[in-house]
Amino acid sequence: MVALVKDKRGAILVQTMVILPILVLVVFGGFEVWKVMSVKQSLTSGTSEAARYLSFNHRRGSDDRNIAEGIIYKELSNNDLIGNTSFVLDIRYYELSDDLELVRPIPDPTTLPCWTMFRVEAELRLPWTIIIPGLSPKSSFSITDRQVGKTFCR
Amino acid sequence: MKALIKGERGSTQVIELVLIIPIFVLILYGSFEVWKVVSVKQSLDAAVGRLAQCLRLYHGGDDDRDRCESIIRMELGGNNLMDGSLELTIEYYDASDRQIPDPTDLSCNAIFTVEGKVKLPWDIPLVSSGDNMYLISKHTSFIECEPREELTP
Repeated sequence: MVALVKDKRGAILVQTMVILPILVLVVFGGFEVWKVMSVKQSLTSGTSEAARYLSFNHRRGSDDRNIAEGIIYKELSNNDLIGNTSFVLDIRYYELSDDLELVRPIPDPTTLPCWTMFRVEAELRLPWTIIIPGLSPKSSFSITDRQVGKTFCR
Repeated sequence: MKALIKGERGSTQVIELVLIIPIFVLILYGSFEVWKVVSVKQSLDAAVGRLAQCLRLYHGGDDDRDRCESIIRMELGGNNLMDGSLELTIEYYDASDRQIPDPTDLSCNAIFTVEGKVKLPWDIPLVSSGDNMYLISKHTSFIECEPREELTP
């Protein structure tokens, strides 16, 4: 037993075998975090462009809502990490008070009167599975972005 | 050499070190390469985003496109990794993904996409063979004009 404790042969190899999986985990974890951050950035950019578009274009009965939603889809498609896959995107609208308090969910911001605050909320379900060691794989991981606009009029 | 053959304690540790050090050097070098690419990609993303923003607001004058494009060159030129040699291609697309020469010619509220493509000024061993490693970033925006809705009297 004493001989085994004193025997230092193979110590570096054992240490490496312990450290290497942790290192691989950190590298792949970092890559996974970067992927999610990149997609979140695209979602934020798309939602903010859509909110801005709807702030300036909100004619009743027009196609403005669909055009704004198209901007979000296009901005997400521009990101190669998500653009080549089919993704599920849920877009919701809310009317806000001037103090940015939530008033009610609305189906279409183009029905709002002039100078009304509204919020565009886009929820994207990530098309890949995120595996967290020790937990069951989470396949329905989603990220949400919210942007505020105002129905500007002339 | 004698010690190596006899399998003495010191020599075993040397062999272990010789085996492991290249792995760690590779990991360190790889991390540095990844950081460099991520840094340039981040600059490109920011620059293309600003270019789209600029074109969204300024689309009346003759040289608006050139003025806005100078932003992307300044942003990328500000990244020390770009080494002063900037090979950049900027392309524009309309809502139907058709290539257009100048988005400032589009009508109000038209959707456009800006694509910036930059060549990395260095080679990445084992990844890029020769000089064909490019980074691409795209951003979509619209030509912003006055609000459309008339105020009811």
